[in-house]
Amino acid sequence: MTRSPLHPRLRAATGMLLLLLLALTGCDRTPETDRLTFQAFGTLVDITVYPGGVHDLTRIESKLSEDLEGMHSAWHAWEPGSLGRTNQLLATGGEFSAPPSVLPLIEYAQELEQKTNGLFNPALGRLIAAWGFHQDEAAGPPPDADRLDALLADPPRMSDIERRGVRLRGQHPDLQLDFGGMAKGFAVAHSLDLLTDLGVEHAIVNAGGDLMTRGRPGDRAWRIGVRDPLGKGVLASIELGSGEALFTSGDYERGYEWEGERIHHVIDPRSGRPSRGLVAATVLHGDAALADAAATTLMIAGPEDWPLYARRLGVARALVVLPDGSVELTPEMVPRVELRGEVIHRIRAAEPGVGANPP
Amino acid sequence: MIRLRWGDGVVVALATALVTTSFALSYAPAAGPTHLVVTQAGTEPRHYPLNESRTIRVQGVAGITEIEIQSGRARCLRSPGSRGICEAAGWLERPGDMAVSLPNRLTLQVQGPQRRFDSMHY
Amino acid sequence: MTTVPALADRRIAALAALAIGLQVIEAAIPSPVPGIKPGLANVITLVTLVTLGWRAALAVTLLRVMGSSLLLGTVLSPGFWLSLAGALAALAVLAPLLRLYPRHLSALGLAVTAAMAHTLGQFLLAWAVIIPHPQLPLLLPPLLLAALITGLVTGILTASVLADPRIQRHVFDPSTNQSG
Repeated sequence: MTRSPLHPRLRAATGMLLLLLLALTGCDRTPETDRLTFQAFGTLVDITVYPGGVHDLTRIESKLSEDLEGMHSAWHAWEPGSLGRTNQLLATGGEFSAPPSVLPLIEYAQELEQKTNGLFNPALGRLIAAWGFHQDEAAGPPPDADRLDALLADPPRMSDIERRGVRLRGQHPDLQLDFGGMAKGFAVAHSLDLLTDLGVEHAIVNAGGDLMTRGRPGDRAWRIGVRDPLGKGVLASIELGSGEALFTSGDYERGYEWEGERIHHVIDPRSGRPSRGLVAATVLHGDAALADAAATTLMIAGPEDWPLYARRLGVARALVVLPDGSVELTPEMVPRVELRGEVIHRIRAAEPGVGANPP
Repeated sequence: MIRLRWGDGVVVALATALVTTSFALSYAPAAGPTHLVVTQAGTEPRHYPLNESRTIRVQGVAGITEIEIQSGRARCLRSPGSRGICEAAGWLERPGDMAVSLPNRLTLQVQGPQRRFDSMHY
Repeated sequence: MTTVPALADRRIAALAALAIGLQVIEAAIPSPVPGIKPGLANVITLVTLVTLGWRAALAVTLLRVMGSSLLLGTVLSPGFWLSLAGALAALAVLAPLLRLYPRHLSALGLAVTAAMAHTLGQFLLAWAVIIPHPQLPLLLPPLLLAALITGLVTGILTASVLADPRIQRHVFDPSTNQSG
């Protein structure tokens, strides 16, 4: 047997080691994306589009911001608009035709209120207003005990809106709609539809931190950084595919200090007070409005019951942050999240067949 | 005792390189931000390098926002707005850190050479 | 009628026994750093490879992994799979490099290559299958450093074993003999 020449073999061996090195280095350059930031929907809107350099960003910004401002005024909880008119008409007790922009929200809210046993209840606008959240700068004083008792004695529910086709009739004098816990989900999903109409196939619409994806940046997943609600840094990173929404409800979003206590905007219908026990609840779901509403619901449900309500809403992927900075997440969420090294976390699954106590 | 061959040199050199690279890649501190991006509703985003100290004054609808850049970081020094939200963000020193002035419709964000995330969730 | 095992089989059995012995002894000695072991059994693998060829080395390796885990009671445990993955990765890299031995590469080079491949093989299995923890890559650099050091040590040991005249006459020369 003759020896084959040495050099090709040596080259092969060296090549193999180099390949190993390369594999370790992991050359993952981010493909170019364009980014667009503007104010709309009462918050900071941040659009990421892929590929970069091909879209008319000025046109996208003007169309999207116009559309978002339209939805914002239609669904605003305390400024005049479609929802404001709807609230006035509901209070009269007479039958009326629902504005088309508001009807889908009412329908969805009725369904969600039922599924959550009233934990998610957008009919409680009066309660939210009593806590000082129906103004641009939320402020006290919080309602006193008598006022709270009065508000909670016979609270309105979404089922107090009688719905026949597009005709609505309010059946509770205190009923006032506030879609703060789900309107942003509708808005973000709608913005993505508009982007598709504008010829953008791959994008993220991020409105004040809550976001939804469509398409993909090349052959990789979207990389999302999750800011730590208790610090400045990044709590985790999450990879998202196409059509996935990531919504968080947190006690740090809107609120004020009152006599040393932090009053935040997520009000628990059971106690009539700001929810306790969780700093933030994050939901990953393909339906942005559901993700938005579910994040609010889990926040209200609290540290004991959140997995249960996640199950009821059909939310498989959720994560909550507790006051001590530790994180609990559903088993299905685990493979999607990369938590920062030192974050303590536990996996929580809802026991099937266990019912929550009705509020 | 061992008769070393030149191939041994290659193997040991490559192995050492592999070890060094793995240490460098795994334990290197994350690179700091290199520039500040200021966006203002209705205008193109403006980029400022973070390696030269300076103060930037941006005229907005509600007044002037003063931004300080110093030793690789930036902060919102003064900004219209009663609650001081922009100032409260403190020094922006990690890529992705952000301060917002709602009255002036301004966002300040420091970015690194390579963006780690496509979008920030909060 | 009794069958007498072929000489090659007896050699493999003897080498495997040595390797199992070394591995069990090594397991009994507590390591200062968990997960890092000198890997003395690799000396046997290398000696087998050089004297009897890669088929024999594969046989000795499989016998060693099976035998030692039977003795240590770790059969089919994660440790067993890691051990197997490391050993097979090392052999897979060594087999093509054997052609360079001894003219262009000494036992030291083989041992360092084997140790690095062993660690990478184990790591890849651990990361891909057993514990896909995002922080795991932080463990790789110290493990690779340890592999470099233990590779140098086992390389020196292997070279001195091979330098023994009793072994020397068996040393495998790929240019003249394929089967050993």
